[in-house]
Amino acid sequence: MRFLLARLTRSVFLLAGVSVLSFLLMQLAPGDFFEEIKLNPQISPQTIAALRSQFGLDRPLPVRYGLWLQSAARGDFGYSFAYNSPVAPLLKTRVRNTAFLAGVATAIAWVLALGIGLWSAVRAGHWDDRFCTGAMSISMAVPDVLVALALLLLATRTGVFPVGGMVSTDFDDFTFLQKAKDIGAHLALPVFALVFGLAPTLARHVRSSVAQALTAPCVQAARAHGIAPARILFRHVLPVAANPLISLFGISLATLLSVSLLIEVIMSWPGLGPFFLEAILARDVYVVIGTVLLSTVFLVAGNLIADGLLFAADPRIRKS
Amino acid sequence: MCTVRNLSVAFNSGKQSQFRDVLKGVNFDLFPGEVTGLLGESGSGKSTLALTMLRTLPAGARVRGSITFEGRDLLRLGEREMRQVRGARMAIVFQDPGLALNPVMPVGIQIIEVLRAHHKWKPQRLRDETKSLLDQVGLDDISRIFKSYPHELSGGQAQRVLIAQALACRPAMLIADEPTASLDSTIQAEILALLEKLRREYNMAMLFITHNPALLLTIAQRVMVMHEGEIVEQGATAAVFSQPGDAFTKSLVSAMEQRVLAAAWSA
Amino acid sequence: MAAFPVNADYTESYREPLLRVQGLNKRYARSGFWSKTKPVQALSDVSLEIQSGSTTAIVGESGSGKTTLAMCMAQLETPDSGDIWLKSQRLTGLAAADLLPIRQKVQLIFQSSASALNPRLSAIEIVAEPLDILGMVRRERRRELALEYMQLTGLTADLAGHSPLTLSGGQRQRLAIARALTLKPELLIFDESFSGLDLILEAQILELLRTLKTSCGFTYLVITHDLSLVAGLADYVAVMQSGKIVEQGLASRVFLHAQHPHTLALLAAMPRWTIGSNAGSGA
Repeated sequence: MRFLLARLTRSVFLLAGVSVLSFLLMQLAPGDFFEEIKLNPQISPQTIAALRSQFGLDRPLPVRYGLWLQSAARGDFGYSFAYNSPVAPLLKTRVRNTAFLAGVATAIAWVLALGIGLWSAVRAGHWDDRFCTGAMSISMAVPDVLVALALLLLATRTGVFPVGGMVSTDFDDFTFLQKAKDIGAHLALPVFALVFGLAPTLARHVRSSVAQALTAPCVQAARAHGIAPARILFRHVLPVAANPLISLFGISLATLLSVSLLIEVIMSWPGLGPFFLEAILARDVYVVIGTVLLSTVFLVAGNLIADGLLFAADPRIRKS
Repeated sequence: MCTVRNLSVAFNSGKQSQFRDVLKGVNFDLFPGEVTGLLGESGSGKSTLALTMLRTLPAGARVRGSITFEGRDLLRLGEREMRQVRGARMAIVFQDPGLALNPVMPVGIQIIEVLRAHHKWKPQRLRDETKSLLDQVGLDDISRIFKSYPHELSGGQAQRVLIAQALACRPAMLIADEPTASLDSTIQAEILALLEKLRREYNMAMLFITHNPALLLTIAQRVMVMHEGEIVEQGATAAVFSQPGDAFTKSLVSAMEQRVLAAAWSA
Repeated sequence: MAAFPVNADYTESYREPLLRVQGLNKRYARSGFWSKTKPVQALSDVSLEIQSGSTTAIVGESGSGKTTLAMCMAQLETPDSGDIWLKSQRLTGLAAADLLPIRQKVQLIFQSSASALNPRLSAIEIVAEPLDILGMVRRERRRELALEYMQLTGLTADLAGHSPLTLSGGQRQRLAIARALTLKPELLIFDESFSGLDLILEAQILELLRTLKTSCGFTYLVITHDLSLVAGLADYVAVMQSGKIVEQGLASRVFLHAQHPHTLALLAAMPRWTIGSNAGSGA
């Protein structure tokens, strides 16, 4: 239990650190939201000054951070100038969409990676393993952006999949089944792009750790006791191979999220990605900070989940 | 009960069709209720012989000759039939319990795994049988041991678990591959005594693999000396050690004599 | 236990010991930020003297603290309390910079030393490496010197260019010894250095140690779990159990008149080699 508690407190410190750092970095960036408005001759400098003081932008940095902390404690996490609304409710729907996309992609990528990796490790050296590892290397070498763009091109040419967005325009009139189908169709391309980027890397790791576990003395001992190969693979080899894979699972959640932001922008998925980009361009400070913080939460949560799984899977960690 | 004739094993040494001989035309017989010692240095091929008899050699090994066990040639059995021999009729105790036990599985379950592989028993019966096995190998506090993971056991306890695993299905033949090499000397003696006691109870044939001639003196009726993949000498233990015919056996015996100089001293 | 009195028939007159350990304590508390596990008393009030030119053996089972003691002697571990003297110099409490020359004088050879040799270097480079690092000898002389040490340990000159990967286990062990010898140590500590070796190789290495001892006057400390290993080797034996030296004395006394039950148990577990006693009885 202490192991998990220690990780949890560390996560809280990490989040605090990230919030300070992103705050500092955003302040270092030249200009702010109101610089752009200044260019508009219809708004008087007085108004801008008034707005700036209303949002506290004329106060010194520590005070602004304190104000932000207060607002975070209220559950607002600052105020978006562009949307003229507290940040938290703005983030909520977008986080849900991103988490949905990332979750589906992670699940599919892992199922594929486990299948391919296991098969490849068991058949090590045979033609099918060589084919798999070859295909993995090639797909790992292709940049994610290229895959996404190619998919978009394919979608516009063939019209089989909808391009962009998460739902069709007449979504609200659909029955539940139609709704599910519609979201599925919209999901297909971004999920494919994400899975294509992630699964080969994961499969390679699965292959190498399973291949290593297959030669472990305890696995050879199991074979010498006459236990059936399939049972050895799932009951003996997988648990032995699991540790590095569980750690990888945590990391994969984090990488997938960052790649997901990019893919979302390209495929106009209404998640954090486009929102984040927009906020950076507009210097909508608190939205940027909120998004960065949320990404950190994702990352930390991914690692916490991995730690929890490790804790459950390995008695040696439980003991120490 | 087990007749090995002209057994040769070669490993593929990376390059195509290039083979390195590990066993070169080995012949011997094992008899029920008898302990045969296999004495050799590391790299002499003795562990390869054990794996060959169970047919658990890594892929890329070329095996020739015959291993007749309980009337069947093991080298000609199908994989499924061979699986019914492994662990059930012919079992093995490995050297290092720290490696041979699965680190993430409770040891009780690891014994159940062996039982399950050869019997269609209900969970309760598997559990009861496992506990009785743990009792037979001289472990105390069985319900705690049952739930323990390997790293929670001492070396001696873990080695007893390995023995329980090997004996789970009452095999007719037991291969002990350096079963005491990784243990402290006081524990070694206990494990050796336990193996001998159980061998008598189960009336098993035992192939005892070691690099230490002194162990064979106490446990084996017959010895075979292996050197560079060949059995250079075999016969009754006392005869082989008192009048070694082969140069290699002689050097082994003289090394042993030097080693126990003090035994002569204190006698 | 007080410092053990040196037996009169071993050294005719009392000489100053090469290495003296007095009242050594070491406790390991494996504590993290959150958890404190029960501390392990690895050494408890250990006192021992090593006479120059002698072979001392420390015998104990796993977890007896024998390796911790060796690490303390080689200044690779700091004891919690107690003192270590090398001749007249008190080592405990010395600054790290002053310990460097001491570490050269006390060389530790582990069981894994032989397998820890850098596979990318040739045999002679491995032996010469300590000389290179310390720059003690002129560059041209180093190779010659390394070759001399290799030959001293029974490695022929034609092995000089070999990678340790192509050497046998016994040859690697010799290489590890040769490497340690280049630093002209006053005390060589072997920590289970022979447990990975086969009987014949082990006999050969032990023979080498005996030869080097008579020809070069080396002082050895042999740490092992196997009492029979030191039977023909050690002058002085200390038996350890759970961090304490439970018995120590001249080898002849410990082997012939052991007092402590643990020593007796170790003696009883020694391999017997009396042919005809019970072998073949069941045939």
